Amino acid sequence: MIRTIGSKTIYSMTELGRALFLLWRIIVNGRFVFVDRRLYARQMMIIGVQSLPLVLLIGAFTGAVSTWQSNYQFGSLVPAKYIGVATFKAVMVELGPVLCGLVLAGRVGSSLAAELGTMKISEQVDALVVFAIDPVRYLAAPRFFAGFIMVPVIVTISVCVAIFGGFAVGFLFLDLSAQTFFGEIPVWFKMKDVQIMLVKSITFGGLVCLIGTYVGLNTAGGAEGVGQATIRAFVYAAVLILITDYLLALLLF
Amino acid sequence: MIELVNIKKSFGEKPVLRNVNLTVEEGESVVIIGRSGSGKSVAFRHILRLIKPDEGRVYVEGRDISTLSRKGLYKVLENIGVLFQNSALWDSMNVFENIALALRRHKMCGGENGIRKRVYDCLDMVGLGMTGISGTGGVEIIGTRMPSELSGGMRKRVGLARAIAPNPAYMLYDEPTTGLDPIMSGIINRLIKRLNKELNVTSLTITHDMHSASTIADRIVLLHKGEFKDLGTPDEANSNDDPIVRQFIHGEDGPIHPVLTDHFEKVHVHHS
Repeated sequence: MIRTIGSKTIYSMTELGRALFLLWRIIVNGRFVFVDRRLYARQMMIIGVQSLPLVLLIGAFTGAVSTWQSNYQFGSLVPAKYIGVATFKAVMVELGPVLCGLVLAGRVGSSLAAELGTMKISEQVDALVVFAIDPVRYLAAPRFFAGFIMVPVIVTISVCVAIFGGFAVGFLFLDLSAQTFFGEIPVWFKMKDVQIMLVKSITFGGLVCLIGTYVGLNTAGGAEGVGQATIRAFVYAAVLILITDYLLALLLF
Repeated sequence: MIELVNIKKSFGEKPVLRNVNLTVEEGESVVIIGRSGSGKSVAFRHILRLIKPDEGRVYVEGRDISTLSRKGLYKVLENIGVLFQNSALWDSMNVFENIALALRRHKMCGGENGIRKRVYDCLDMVGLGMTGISGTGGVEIIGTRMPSELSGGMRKRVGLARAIAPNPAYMLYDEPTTGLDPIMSGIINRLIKRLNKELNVTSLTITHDMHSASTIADRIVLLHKGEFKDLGTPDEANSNDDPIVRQFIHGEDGPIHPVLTDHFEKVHVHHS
């Protein structure tokens, strides 16, 4: 029992150390961003733009449900003009970044792990090394920074869509006018809310892409290994997003 | 010159390389033969520092690659071309991009026109030029194809073109004919022999295909029980009296893997 706990702890610490070393090497290789701009642009397209339809759909429904729930929970306790504010706050500081992060852990993290894992087991990563092309610079850095940059952008867009999704539900089903729904938002708007949304989405974007890249580049064991890698990438990213969200809540509020 | 000096490597409790010593002289073509799982690929990967030895040193051009920085290692690797067992073409790029990537990254051939010419020359060299594939269009058509659209033989040839494109002084071939039919194996063997001669490269090949070894090798080395045994030229290897060597080269009964032989015979007798 003690031996099992000990060996699992050592394994986890080793993995963490290796992931942090990869992060360090990615940051160092970030200085080639201009030289490798095409690689970065391609990954920004894949990770950011191609994820947009899914993220927008999630945003719209998150906003819609938030408005409906706000009305159900305290519609009879507070004036209707505060339902828009409740939706706005909930979506911006919590639901938007966390739900997008979790969805991107599946959409982006797993896909990175599968792509890089397949390259690893079919010796394509080794082929880069023997042609003196650093896989961290060529593969890992563009993917990490693309997530780092694009996730906040798509989370911001998603939050905007969520607010309008919430308004649509309020307008269509709860008889809330635009003035009622949006009127109180400027009064309660704090720049800190936007900062929190950005800090969370940058952190979650970086986490998802770092984990997907790390797990992918360390894949072994053929097709089954690639399958396991995709699962691991999603599970690690999802768990870390939830833990990090809690820690950020302690730090930022 | 490539040198492996007293290399030892184990995976867990299992020793794979016990005490490996090998020198490949300038311009020489050495072929390592050995059974599947004997550690040929492990020895091969040591030369590229894809694996580090538990003990011993690997020298390429007199430099100990196990002590080099990443930058120093890449400098050495720029001078080595590798043909992987499954070609390891980058499947997100077409054939042209596969061959051009290293040239672009290392700013070779003086710009895009030079790179284009070099890529087409290399495709021509491996028989994928105007006359190399059926129909017309030649290198330009093959250049636009994705690796998934190519047959095994064509993938090997593209892998070979990619390996020779940076004009390396050393070529390493990992099981170049595995998975190919005898006709395509013959084509690849002759191609490797011709390229080694024309480009004047030092080459190291691992294979368990004796026909391939006889065609390509100046010298054959057998890897058995984690150690190298120098068999000399292909003719000397063929006339070697050692029962292990004879068993491997000629497929005769011998001391290797008696348990499997007994088992096979029991099954065979039982069925008959």
